[in-house]
Amino acid sequence: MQAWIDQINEARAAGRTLAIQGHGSKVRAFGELSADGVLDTTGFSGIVSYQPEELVVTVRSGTSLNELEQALKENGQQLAFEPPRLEGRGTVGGTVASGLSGPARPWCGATRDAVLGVRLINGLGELLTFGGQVMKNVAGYDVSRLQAGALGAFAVLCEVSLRVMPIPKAQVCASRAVAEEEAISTMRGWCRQPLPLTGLCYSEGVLRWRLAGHADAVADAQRKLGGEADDAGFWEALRDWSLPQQNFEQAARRVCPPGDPIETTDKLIDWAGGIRWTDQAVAGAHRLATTPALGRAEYALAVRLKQAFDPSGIFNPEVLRANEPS
Amino acid sequence: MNRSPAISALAQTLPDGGLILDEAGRRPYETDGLSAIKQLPWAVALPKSEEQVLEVLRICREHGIPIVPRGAGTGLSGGARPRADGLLLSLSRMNRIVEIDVDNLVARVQPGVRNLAVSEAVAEHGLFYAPDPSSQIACSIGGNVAENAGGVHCLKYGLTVHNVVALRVATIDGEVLQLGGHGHDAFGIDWLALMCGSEGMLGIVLEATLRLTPLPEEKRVLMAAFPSLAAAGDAVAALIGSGLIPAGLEMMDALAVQAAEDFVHAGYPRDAAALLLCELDGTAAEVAQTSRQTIEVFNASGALSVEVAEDADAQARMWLGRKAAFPAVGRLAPDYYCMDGTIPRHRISEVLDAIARMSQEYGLRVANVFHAGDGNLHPLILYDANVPGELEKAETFGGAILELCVEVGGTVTGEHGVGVEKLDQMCAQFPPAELEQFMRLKAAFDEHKLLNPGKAVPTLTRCAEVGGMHVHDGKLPFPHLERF
Repeated sequence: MQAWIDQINEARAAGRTLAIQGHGSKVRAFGELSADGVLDTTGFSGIVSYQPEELVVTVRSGTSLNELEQALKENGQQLAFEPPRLEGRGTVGGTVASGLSGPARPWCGATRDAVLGVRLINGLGELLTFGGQVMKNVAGYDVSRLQAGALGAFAVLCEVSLRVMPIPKAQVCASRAVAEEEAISTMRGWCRQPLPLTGLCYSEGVLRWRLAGHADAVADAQRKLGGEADDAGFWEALRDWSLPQQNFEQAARRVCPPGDPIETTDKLIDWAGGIRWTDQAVAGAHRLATTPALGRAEYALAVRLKQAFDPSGIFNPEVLRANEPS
Repeated sequence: MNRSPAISALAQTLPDGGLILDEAGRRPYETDGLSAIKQLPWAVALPKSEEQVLEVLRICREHGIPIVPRGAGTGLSGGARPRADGLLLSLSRMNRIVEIDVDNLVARVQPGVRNLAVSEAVAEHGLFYAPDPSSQIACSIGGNVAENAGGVHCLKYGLTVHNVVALRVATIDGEVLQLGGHGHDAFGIDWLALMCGSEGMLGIVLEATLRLTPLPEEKRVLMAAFPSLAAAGDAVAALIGSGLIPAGLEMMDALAVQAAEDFVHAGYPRDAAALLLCELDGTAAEVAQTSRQTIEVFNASGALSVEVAEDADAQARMWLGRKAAFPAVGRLAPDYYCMDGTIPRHRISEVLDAIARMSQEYGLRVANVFHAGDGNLHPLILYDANVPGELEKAETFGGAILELCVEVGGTVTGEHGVGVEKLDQMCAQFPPAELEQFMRLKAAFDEHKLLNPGKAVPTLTRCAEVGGMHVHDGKLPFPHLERF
């Protein structure tokens, strides 16, 4: 980590910017971050501590997502927020910084919900620790969760403590044909019931769902819902952005109130209606390469917030600029 | 400072008793749930609308008047402790449920709405609002956001931060921020995480959009008695480690069990050295399966007895003792001091042993009632404020417990907040550079430190003074600061 601190201090002294980069797995999705230099996180990898009975793992940011998931799997655990595994690449730091959550998000929480603590280096070259390894912690502002989704605008992540969850004992995937005009009301109706759902997705006339949890509960719920049994392949592909509708050279995503009606541009509807993959840029949708513009007051505050962490503007300078109100 | 221009501006903004200046009227606001600390506010404002809040903020900004926001005043860390020179901004009159959106499973409410009122309002749709702090009958959503309130069921359903999808926030600069949306995960900066638990120091919540959860089909409560705290602690670790997440998992020690039993006769086993209460919920099939599994884990961990409450009456009776535990313990001594550290679960029995040893050293009894499932301790230190020196002794003891929590990898506050109460312990948890980062973050929102100044984040000078008493490894903390 000293090497990173030195690199940051040199950049600050020289008035240069740095792009924080791991495996570069999200470059295709978010676009290349241009800066005067690159801070490569991949050399700093490995699991720092893992106590399965605590449901917490602490990992260095350069650790590959694959390595972490493998270690968890050996103990019957997983990352409940199902981050996309892009062609088997991606680091834990990049996963947290991009804040991308998979199909289980409405029921099992987002990336940020799993973040319990971080060690980071701010733009002053200070190595700081926030949060911890415990579930409940309200000492000071929640600087840890703030890093999830911030795309490295504030700091370089060094270590992250994540809440992990047991892999459910049983899982059932199923589907059935549903007319488009009934799709949203069916999904929302199911969400109002206490069903052990971990996925609910609609595309091209087919409603697909995934139930997970205790064997009896899953079987019981599946009897109620009917449909035809599927394998988990669709859900793996959905999670990893490898469905045709998720081709991010053409597709855009929009997050909306889940009960909103289906627009003609919505080609894949996940999160029980809460996220729509569209086949073109429409109002409220955006390509993965950009994050949406903020309001004027929110943007001004975001700039001040960045200055609070990175006063010289060293890290990923383009990230915040992309949020500028038009 | 001549404040009469400010007073007349405030009076004009807040008609119909919205501004309280007389002493008798201000008296009810002199303290919050941390009642050992009292201070009369300079004035009390009770706005009824967003416009009034914004106007009050403008007046205070222009006159440099500090603002202490307050919800229902149930907080346990003195976060709403008034200032003699400050305006107490009570949001209690903004208590309207604005919208219940069943389709999107959210409710939009004003900050003064009581926590329980949300669940009551949506019950007819088979829904509830999950965070349930013990004060839920009285505490307000605005205060819940400020403190990131938890509760008995947050083990499964999460804290306030996991259940808020959007906030409308007024900044001290007079801006209204719209943070988050009606759906999941607005992309970009996670403003909601920052606002939850910020103790009223970053902005004033004008409106909160809360996630609603379907009421579980079935509930069951299990009560297991253990021969030792260590055995109960191990049972907790074994249960969570087995992959089961109960809706709630609470522990009480012998002193708390006896006090509760004397007080409400809940039918607790008096010979238990430790009692675990475990609530399981879900579909009928799920609950049947998880209760079998839980009973197995408890028996394997050496439980003396396991009782199951299946119907609502029996469950209510089982919870009664836990819910009455604080007042029950309150009958054992004139005063008690409630702590709120969180520790890794596998250190529970070790930390409880250490607390028992310290209890002997300080000569003050301690009852332990806590959220075992997430390692959130609530040691209740018994003392008598009328005995000279006992309050100070209780505070020192409490501080030592929190520092122990930090030492074993935990935190000084799990759900009650820092407020004014744990400022000294923040110095033990955070080095100066982290505290300075907090201060820069605060300044990004509130450059002139007008919102709830002096709370949550201690000054480095204060830490230097505290640090003088706690020299770790022979290293003097904050060597670059002057000593007083």
